[in-house]
Amino acid sequence: MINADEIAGILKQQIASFKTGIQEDQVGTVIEVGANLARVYGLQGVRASELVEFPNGMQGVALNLEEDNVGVVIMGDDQEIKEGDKVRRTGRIASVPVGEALLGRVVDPLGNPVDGKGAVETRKYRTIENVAPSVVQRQGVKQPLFTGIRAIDALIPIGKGQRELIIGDRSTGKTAIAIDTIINQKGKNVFCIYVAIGQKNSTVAALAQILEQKGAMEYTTIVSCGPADAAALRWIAPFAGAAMGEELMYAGKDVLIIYDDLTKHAQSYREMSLLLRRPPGREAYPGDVFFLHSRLLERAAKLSDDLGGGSMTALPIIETQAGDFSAYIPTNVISITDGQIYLTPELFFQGIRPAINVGLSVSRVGGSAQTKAMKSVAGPLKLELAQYRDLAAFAKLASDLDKATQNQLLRGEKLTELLKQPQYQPMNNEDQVAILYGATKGFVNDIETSRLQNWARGFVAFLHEKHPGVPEAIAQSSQLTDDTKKNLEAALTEFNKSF
Amino acid sequence: MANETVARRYAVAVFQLADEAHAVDAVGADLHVLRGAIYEDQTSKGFFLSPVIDRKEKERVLSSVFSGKLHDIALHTLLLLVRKRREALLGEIVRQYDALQMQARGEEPLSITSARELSTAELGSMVERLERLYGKKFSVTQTVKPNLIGGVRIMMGDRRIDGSVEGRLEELTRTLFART
Repeated sequence: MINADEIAGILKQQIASFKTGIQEDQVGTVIEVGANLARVYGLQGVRASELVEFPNGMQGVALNLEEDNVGVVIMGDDQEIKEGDKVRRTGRIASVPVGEALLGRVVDPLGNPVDGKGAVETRKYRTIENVAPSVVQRQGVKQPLFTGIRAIDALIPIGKGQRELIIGDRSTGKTAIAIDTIINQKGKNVFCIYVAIGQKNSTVAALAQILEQKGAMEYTTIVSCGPADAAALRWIAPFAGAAMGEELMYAGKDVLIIYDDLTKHAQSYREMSLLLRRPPGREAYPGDVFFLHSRLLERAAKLSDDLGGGSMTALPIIETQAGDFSAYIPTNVISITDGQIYLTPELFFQGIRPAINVGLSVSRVGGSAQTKAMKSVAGPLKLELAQYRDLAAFAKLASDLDKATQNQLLRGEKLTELLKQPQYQPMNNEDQVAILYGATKGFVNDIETSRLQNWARGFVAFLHEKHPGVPEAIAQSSQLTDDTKKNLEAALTEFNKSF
Repeated sequence: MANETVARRYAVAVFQLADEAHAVDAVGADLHVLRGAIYEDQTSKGFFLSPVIDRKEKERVLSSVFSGKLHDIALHTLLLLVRKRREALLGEIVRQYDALQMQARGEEPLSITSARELSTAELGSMVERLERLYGKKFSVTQTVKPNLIGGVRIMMGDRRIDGSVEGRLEELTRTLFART
């Protein structure tokens, strides 16, 4: 802790070295203020997105450069800003503190701590808007990023540097998937950034507490701005989060960033744009809302080995209204990302949780990042599930079915059951492989569907206790050799006898 | 503001007309008289700005009061504003007209704020030095603001040259609270 004498000393030094003399800067005058926006007369030379400063130290961003005035969004409370106040150019663009000191912290979009744990000890800053890595600076997605969720890791695998959209109606478990993924990164040397855009402060507090309990907070930064904050803050929040992630990515580390959610982000941007009198387009969103999201998500990358090989994986979240995926923002973000995870309320209320619609969800690049072991079990799994979906639709109409069809339906049901997973219980990749291997090879055919969750839990425990060599072998070689398969099948037979 | 843009269109038109008639100064003076006469008195201001009063009635009253006393261009401007329901723009038009007038003279606005009243000699030497430095002619307005404590603050359009004690204290505050 710094003491009073030291502070006085530092101040003395700063005052002594303070430049006296004449200072010249460019100023404008506030002619109108309200709704967290200011119209400023003058500021002729100001550049787009430049940071400007109001007399009370409040900062703003110059967004609309018009013939005789400038539209400035105020990043904070506009109560203290009056008509006639002088606004000063700073010549900088907005930047946030970055670095590992931010891990374990909850900060606002300007990087100020809001968790009551004191100042963020970092001297490094990074501008919030940065150009995304170019073609030569990247390499293809090739390493897996495990979410710990069986349905995703097997069927919709995500790779490091990928952008995978999580989309669904309200309360279908979108955030739950993101949080499970964060929890699953423990011990995997992946840093996480969770950007809460317009989320209730109570929700964010609860979430931070859960991450703390699960020991996940130590490698996580939460960027939070609530519904009561200025729209400008909600607008810059994901960019600030991306800047924090980029710092780690360019240091050769792997980063996972979650934007929760971009629907509210687009709405905040729409609010600002309409108040700035920019022309409204479809659904009253401004014309550049696509660019807003594409430039944000383009910053997720897997860097080339020359640049350290770091990565930033983005999981944007989009909330749909009554399952309408063809609204403006959902279609935009679907087309920007490398795939999407669809969550539907029907599945959620049928008890299939996570409520992932595996038929509609895709991962366009993740397949190349999947481990060989997982690929070998995911192939048959996908096929069986696809056949099951076809049959299930058909079987609703048919009365008697032949034995083969009934079997197929039953197996589909069992596989679906095994893809259910409780919240906050992410699972290791090798355990997932072991369970799904058993399921696709028919080891669960004789077990009642209602007991399958117990079976899966029991088998994992049994495997680690009695045959620890099997999961180790899968984890090390990341493929299923004939030897491993034999041992795994032996373990499955042994366990099924006692179950 | 939208009003400003509209006012500038009017001001430019009036200025060009006045320029063609070689009456820039006369029209300018008349516009100031008009603004003064209408805005000084609450009743006349209310009458002028009220949207309730019939436009024809307004035109009749205004032309009977001002005709013969003002340059035709100024009077017609006033009547046109009434006819177009743009009465509220008068103040802004006069301001823009002044700016155009200043520009035509090749001058730029310069405002000097000082902590105490400056003597004519002090002001003269300062303006002379600034004119030499920037190669421009200035139209000077001077204000006194004791809050500055000492020194002067000069505004030339957007550019603020601050040599005041208050400005230095503000700068010191910024340095001490700076994040980097």
